[in-house]
Amino acid sequence: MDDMVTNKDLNLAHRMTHLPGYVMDTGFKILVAATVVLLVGFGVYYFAQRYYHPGPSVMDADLRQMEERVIQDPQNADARVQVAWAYLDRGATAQAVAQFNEALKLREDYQAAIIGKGTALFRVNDITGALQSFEQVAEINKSNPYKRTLRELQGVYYYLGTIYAQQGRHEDAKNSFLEALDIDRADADSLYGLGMVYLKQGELDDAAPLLEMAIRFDPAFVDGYNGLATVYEKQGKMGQLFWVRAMLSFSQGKYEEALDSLSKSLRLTTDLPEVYQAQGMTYEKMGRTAEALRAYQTALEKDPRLLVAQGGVTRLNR
Amino acid sequence: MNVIQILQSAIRSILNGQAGEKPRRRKALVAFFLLLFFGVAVSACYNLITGRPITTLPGVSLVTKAFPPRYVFSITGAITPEAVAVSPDGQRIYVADSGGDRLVQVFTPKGERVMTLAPPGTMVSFRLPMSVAVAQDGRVFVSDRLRAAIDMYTPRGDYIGSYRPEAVWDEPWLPLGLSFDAQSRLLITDHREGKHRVLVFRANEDLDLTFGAQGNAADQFSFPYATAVDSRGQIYVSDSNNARISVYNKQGGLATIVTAAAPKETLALPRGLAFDSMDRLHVVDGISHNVVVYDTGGKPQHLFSFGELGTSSGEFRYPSGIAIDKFDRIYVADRDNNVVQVWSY
Repeated sequence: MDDMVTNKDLNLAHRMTHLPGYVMDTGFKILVAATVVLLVGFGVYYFAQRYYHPGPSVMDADLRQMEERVIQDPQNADARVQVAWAYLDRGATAQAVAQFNEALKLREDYQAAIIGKGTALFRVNDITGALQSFEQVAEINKSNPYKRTLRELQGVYYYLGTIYAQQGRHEDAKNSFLEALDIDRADADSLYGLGMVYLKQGELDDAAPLLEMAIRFDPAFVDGYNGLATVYEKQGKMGQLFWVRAMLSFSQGKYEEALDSLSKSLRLTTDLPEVYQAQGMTYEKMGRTAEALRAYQTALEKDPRLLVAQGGVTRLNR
Repeated sequence: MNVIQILQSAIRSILNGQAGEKPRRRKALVAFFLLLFFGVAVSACYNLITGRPITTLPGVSLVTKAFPPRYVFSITGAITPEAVAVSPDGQRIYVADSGGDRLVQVFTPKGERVMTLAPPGTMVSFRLPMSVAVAQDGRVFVSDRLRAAIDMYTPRGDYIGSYRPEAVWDEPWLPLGLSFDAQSRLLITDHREGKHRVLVFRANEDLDLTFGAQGNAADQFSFPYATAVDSRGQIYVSDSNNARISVYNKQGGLATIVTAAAPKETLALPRGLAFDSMDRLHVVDGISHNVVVYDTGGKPQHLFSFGELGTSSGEFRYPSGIAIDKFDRIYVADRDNNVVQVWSY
């Protein structure tokens, strides 16, 4: 029995005779494990050391400061309005409305708070509440001889125009948009809004110049192009319609399609400087700078006021 | 066999080898893991000892030179910061506020404010710090545009006095940009009417070099905003209103001019300048709202730009000054966003 060889003896003997292989295998496993641990550990440390910083973002830090000011001086209506706008910017509409209401408790006719509240309510689709706020501000300023100089009223009249248009109150909408444009003639949104009201009433000849002006002030105004497309289609102005379709293709990055539409437009009308300007923009995006420059220059020969063409010529002439 | 079983089989194969496995494959695996292990170990040691990013490792940097940095966070509390500087040990960030109380605020790298610097006896409306530089011994130099002076402070923040070397005693000057080179020489841009120039003073306040005149010819400046010196001693000047960077050799002779910010783009308003450990020149473009980075190995070549106009993290609004610490961390005075942005490679 004492001479019997056990399994344990066999294993030990096996290891002893195969020692170098055994060490290699174990060593390799240790090497792999150590490499993985080192890689992961150092990776985590490196990321934390170079790229991570605990703490609030700049916007959050700003918000905290504003909240502090309200906490330290709760009777300060201005501070409440400021923090309310900050909440609104971050999408915290309920908190924004609460702060605007607190500011109004402190100062009943505080227009900045009424406008803010109206804006917040409009954003959450509480049209009735928003309308009430904006009409209140409009009423306060009805006889204000300086209302044309108050930029904050521009937004009020724009929102009023938008709401009236949604409610089908076309004449009220027109009046409100006109008030907004009285304050800022270059407001593309109000021009668009007024143009769309005329379009809904079938007054195409009045709608077209307004929508054209809207996209002149904001060449990337997609809604404006869509509105114009409807107008030109109804008026049968195919040359202009192809140009508008080209701009819509351009806005979607479909440059070949845009060029195709612009060629069709030029076959029907060569008097539109905007078409050449659009060609310039499209060629430039496609890297065809010589053609872009020629197109911009042609556009400026027809209308030297085109800002996009002016910028294009300056850029490409460097 | 499902995915997990396949993975288990593969790992077993690598670790244990398979019957009939060729020894060459095993040796290749061992070599691979050995290389990987030592590679990571060397990178870790380099980073832990120098504090620099592993992208600056010799050899590796040839490939990673064109990698832009990442935004980390912003130091808040500054008020229209115009300039930023870092102490040699990287533990203090000096920010010159051109708004609010118009003084220099001092922060830790984590963004905690520790003290402020202002020349004693001055009122807010009669001072305007525009540039900050820190000497090797930790003394802080601040140029004041309204007082046409350079103020000096100890590392602890005590006011030392006004810096006015003998060479400029008898003439009026308007010091603006300040920087130190590796030889502890102080470089000052002067924008007194008719005298837009760069002055270089040795540590003992002797005037070593002066060059430039007002104008837009090659060898002239129009509001030279800042200077920086590379590892070869070449002096770079941001010639703001001429929209270019002028490069001068050690003797003050014009070497080259840089106007390109990127393919088909030129600099608009170059302001702050700084070099990192790879001798890459960082130029703040104040109205392009970004930082443009050049490789200065030969003639400066544009590598990349980072940042764009905006108010969110990593976006700039009229940035002005820049500083890079010894760990290659970048500090940008983002003037109209009222923060100092911190970026890292």
